[in-house]
Amino acid sequence: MTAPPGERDHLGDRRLSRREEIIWYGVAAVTYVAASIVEKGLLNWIVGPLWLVAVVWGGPALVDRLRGRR
Amino acid sequence: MSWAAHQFEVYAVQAHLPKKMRGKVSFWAIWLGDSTPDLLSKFWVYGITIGGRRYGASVPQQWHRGWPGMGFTHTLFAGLVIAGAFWLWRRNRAFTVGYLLGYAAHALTDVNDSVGTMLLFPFSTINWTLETWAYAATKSGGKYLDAAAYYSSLGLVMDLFWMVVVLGSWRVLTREHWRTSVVPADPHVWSWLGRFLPERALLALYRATFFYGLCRMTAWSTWSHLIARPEIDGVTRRGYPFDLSWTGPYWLEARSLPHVSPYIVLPATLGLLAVVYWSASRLWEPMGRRDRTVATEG
Repeated sequence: MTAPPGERDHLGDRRLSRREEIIWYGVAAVTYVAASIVEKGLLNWIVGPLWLVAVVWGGPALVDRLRGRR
Repeated sequence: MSWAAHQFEVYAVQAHLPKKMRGKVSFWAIWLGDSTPDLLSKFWVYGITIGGRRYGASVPQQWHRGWPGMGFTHTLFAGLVIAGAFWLWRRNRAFTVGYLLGYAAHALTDVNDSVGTMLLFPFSTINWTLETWAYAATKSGGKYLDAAAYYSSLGLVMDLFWMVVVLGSWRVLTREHWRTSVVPADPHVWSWLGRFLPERALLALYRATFFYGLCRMTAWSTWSHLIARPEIDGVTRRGYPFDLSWTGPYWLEARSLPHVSPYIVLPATLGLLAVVYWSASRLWEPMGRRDRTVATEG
């Protein structure tokens, strides 16, 4: 199953819906806050932004792969 | 010092640019300008411990905000010098103005802690402070005590204030704003990043500083008040106590340096902020006539 062409960005990756954005940003925030309370070394201006980018970039891709969707 | 406020103020600056500058001032320059003061000085404030020995400033507040010390990094003068040097080098007003506005935001908002900044450097090396909350970076307490003090005092209110300012201008965080106002001002940077990152990652990268500020505010506040077990006045407590009184919290001695009367600091700070914005606005068109990138794009 593939996404319609209009939902693709300049690299051919699927764009997220508003609902998906909220979910993945929420996942990033909850996991980052939880992890950084335990390990405060994670609270820095490099790890924080990278955490968000990694979750928002990789999370949907992983879910799509598990669902057999491109 | 301020914590998440410095992340939020980047978006506050982005959201409140003069109308003629919208879509033309570099977001990355605002971010870099706001980050520079602490990038240059904060590493030595808490110090590092190697083999049981601490290497760091013997008087953190003097190093961080004083003269002699690295206090000049938290002055408008330093922001002007660096921005001016960049202009002479690249003639790029998008970056120069963004950098200066970001730098000014950091230097001016840091007057709130009990150490403040040297607003009139190099003409004067005396600090200007509103003493709103205690500057709490110490040799023994390090980052943990500093965070606990900040998030138990009006410092937390400062972070929440700037968060509300950004959320009140929530469109600055939208995909639409990023596409129409952020990307056009930094086309080469976003184009280069876009060679490797999909759009959702690029957008996340733009929002990441706000995300980081929100999360660090939440994490440190949670740790300070729900998890930490400090001993204060001989009593072990469940969490550090809140103290929203001026120059709080009461359970820590506020660090300070020689400073002017706090009563003149707010009008002076607001006046300097107005001067920075007015100057940037007046110089915008003349800079545009000299801007190599504008000339290139016709």
